Amino acid sequence: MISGILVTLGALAAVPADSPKVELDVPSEVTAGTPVPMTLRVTNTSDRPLELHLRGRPIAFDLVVRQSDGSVVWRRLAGAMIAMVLQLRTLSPGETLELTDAWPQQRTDGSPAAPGDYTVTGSLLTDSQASLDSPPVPFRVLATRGR
Amino acid sequence: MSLLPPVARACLVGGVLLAAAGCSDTSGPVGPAQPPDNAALGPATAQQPADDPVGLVRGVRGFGGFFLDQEGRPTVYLTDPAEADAAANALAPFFAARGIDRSRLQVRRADFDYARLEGWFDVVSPEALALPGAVFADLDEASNRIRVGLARGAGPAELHRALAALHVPAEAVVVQETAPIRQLATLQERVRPVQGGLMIDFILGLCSLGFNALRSNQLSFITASHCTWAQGGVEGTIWYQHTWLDFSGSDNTIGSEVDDPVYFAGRKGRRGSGNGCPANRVCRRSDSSRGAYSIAAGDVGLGKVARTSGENNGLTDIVGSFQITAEHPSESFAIGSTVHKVGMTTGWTSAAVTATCVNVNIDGTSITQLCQTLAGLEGAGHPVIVGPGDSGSPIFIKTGDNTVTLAGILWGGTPEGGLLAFSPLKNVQQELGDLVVVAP
Repeated sequence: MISGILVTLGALAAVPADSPKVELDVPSEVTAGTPVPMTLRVTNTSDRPLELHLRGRPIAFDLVVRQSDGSVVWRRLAGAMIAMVLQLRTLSPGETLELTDAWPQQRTDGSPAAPGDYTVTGSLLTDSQASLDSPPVPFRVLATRGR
Repeated sequence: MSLLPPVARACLVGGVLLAAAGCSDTSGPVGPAQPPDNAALGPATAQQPADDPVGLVRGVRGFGGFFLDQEGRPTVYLTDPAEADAAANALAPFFAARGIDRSRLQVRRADFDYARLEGWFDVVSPEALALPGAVFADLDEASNRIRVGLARGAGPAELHRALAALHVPAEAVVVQETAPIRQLATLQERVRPVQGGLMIDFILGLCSLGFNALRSNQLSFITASHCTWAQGGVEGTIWYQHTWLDFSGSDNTIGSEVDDPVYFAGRKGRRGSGNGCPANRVCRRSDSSRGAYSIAAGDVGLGKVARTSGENNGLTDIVGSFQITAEHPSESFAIGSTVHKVGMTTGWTSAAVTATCVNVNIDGTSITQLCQTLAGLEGAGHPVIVGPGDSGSPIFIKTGDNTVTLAGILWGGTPEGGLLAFSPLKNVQQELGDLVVVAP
């Protein structure tokens, strides 16, 4: 009876699962040592309300930072414990759900990450195994001047 | 039923169908019912689809049924075996579509032709299914008979009397003793009596009902605090089982929130944290809340937890109930001991306790849950024992086939679902007060 995305009652036509637009907003360049702000935006681009079936309370979302060779440097939800409620959230046409966090420029083990090129992907966790994922976004951590 | 469901023709009592289209013939466009004594039905038409073998072959003189036997061999009943070639010719499209060599067709001598059985079935089925203990009626292509299922203990005498009155020979009907067929409800449907493990709706989301309890003689249920309109504090959350909106017109309201202690802030004592709660965080020893049942809830099963068809099988179909017979007396659990849960999303699952009385920060909040228990394994690749919607599930220890000791309330887990977190019952009672959870 449950799926990741459902049209709310009253709108009978099924909305394709890829209907919401998922974007991740990250600065293209940041200086070493400063937290990197990241904003995940999920927008209902259809002309009908969308009911999202989401995990957690607050809504659980993941951010995965990879270095240029594809290996994972940091994952927001690594080792995290989330509430196991199934949260129902309706997005009106054009409405955007916005979730923010910052990468502390650390690896998952807490050690500092080196300057260089990275990519990050944002994911909104739904009730199905498939999450709503943003495309990978590249960004660069610049070495601090004088070092 | 024959071994070939598409050609089956059957009716069941209680609205449960073995074949589609209710009690109508599902063998395809066979036209109006033939008179019972019609022995020659004319050739099959070209419109018969290849996947409708009965439709293809029913025009053969003396046809009495078609099925695939247990080895998958096509088998036809004929009152006159000399019609075997005609039957094979008629079935050619079916054989071609399935890649079956027509030489595999085996013939059994029929006592009754199909049209005669159809005529009898049409009159026997409604009479038989009206009898006490009737379970199903079937024109059984695999036995060239009408088959009537009767529940154990339901004697066939009344059926035989009905057959005689209908002038249907008793030898054309097989009586089979069978178990009653019941539609299985799932944890995600409306179920009464209301019991632990069922889906509950609080408008903002879906959770699982933990367990029923008496608190100062008030009939209540326990679920997670975050399954209320605000975690911590009483806002009068209304709960529904299974969902607030039900097109059947049922009132699914089961009750409203009456107890949900506020989270307390960290306070430093002389030697560090005075109340066990870290600075800049808020804490409780359980993620639990209590709802008082309303009249609309109807039947409530004190001491009952819904039981699904199997442990760790991912199914949510309810086959019975666990009975709570005791309470786990401690806030701690032996590492390695097995705990179970029943929840609306992942059903009945179990795992070994991996940590006990641990303090846990909740992702994205300032909440720390004190002295909680973890079971299962973290990371990808482990069995999924918890999923979204399982919050509030009862945690228990099995003590017998159907008896359990209540141990706590599930509230969280890892995103991959391999590790769950629960509040021990001892902590729940510390915060919500003494609860009677065992039925008298």
